[in-house]
Amino acid sequence: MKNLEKIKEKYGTHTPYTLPENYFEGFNKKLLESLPPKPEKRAVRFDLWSIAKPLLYVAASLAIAMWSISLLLRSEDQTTQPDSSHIMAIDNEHDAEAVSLNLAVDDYSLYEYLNEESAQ
Amino acid sequence: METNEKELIKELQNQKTVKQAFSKIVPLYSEKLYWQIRKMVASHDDANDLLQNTFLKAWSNIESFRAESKLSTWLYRIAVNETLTFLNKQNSFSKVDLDNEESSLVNKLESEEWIDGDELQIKLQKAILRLPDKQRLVFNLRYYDELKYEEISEILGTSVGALKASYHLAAKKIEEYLTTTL
Repeated sequence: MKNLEKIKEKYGTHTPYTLPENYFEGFNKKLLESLPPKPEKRAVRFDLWSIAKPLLYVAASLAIAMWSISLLLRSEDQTTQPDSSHIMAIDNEHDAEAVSLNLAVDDYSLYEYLNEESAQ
Repeated sequence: METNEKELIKELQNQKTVKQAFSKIVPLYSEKLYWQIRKMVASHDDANDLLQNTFLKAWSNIESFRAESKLSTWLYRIAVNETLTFLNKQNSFSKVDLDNEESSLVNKLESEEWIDGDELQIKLQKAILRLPDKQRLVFNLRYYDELKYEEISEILGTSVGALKASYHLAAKKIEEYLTTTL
């Protein structure tokens, strides 16, 4: 940087550039006259419907979703839960046997079983 | 931040007083910005156009000025961006001309109407104009405007270390040019 100090000493810190007379006065005036107008900010209009509309949409969507879910849950309850009155009716051994037959015995086995019963 | 600048910024943020405030800014900074640009582009006509574009850009974006930096830094940044964009466009044109050994800016300096320096000043200017754009910018801000590296860093968004390296490299190139050219 010592050499840079030498350059400063020898060449100075002035540039060779010049300007037209009263350039800045003319420039400033011309520029300020040519500034495009700023677009005026429009006042924000509070429209009750525009505020309420999205809220209503959200509320309606929620209501529909909840209603659908409750409907779905109710139908699932009906299909999965056994009929309790039917269960209560099976209170003796014979009926229980009949139920198990209903569930697991095919026609051929049933005839066989009935023949055995009549033979006895 | 100075009180005057704070008041000026308040006026700039108010739609009713923005034009009045801007009319204070233009004469306050036009000269500083002009010389910054002129040293980069050499030609008065180009500097005039770029100064005008700088202020027009500042005017159209004045709402986005958040006063996080000084007003002068913000304006310098706009001027730097405008100038570098202009020079990039010019460089892409002049690269087509492969026979052109001398920098196009040096050619502009030689044909410039608004020039009146002594031989040494012109020689130094030629050396500076041969530097790459960003190196020239850093060199000018340090050599002529005597800005601190921290201030230059704020304007250019470059680290102080990188700026020091850039300045030393620029100084070395200038020194070489001045000693080898008669």
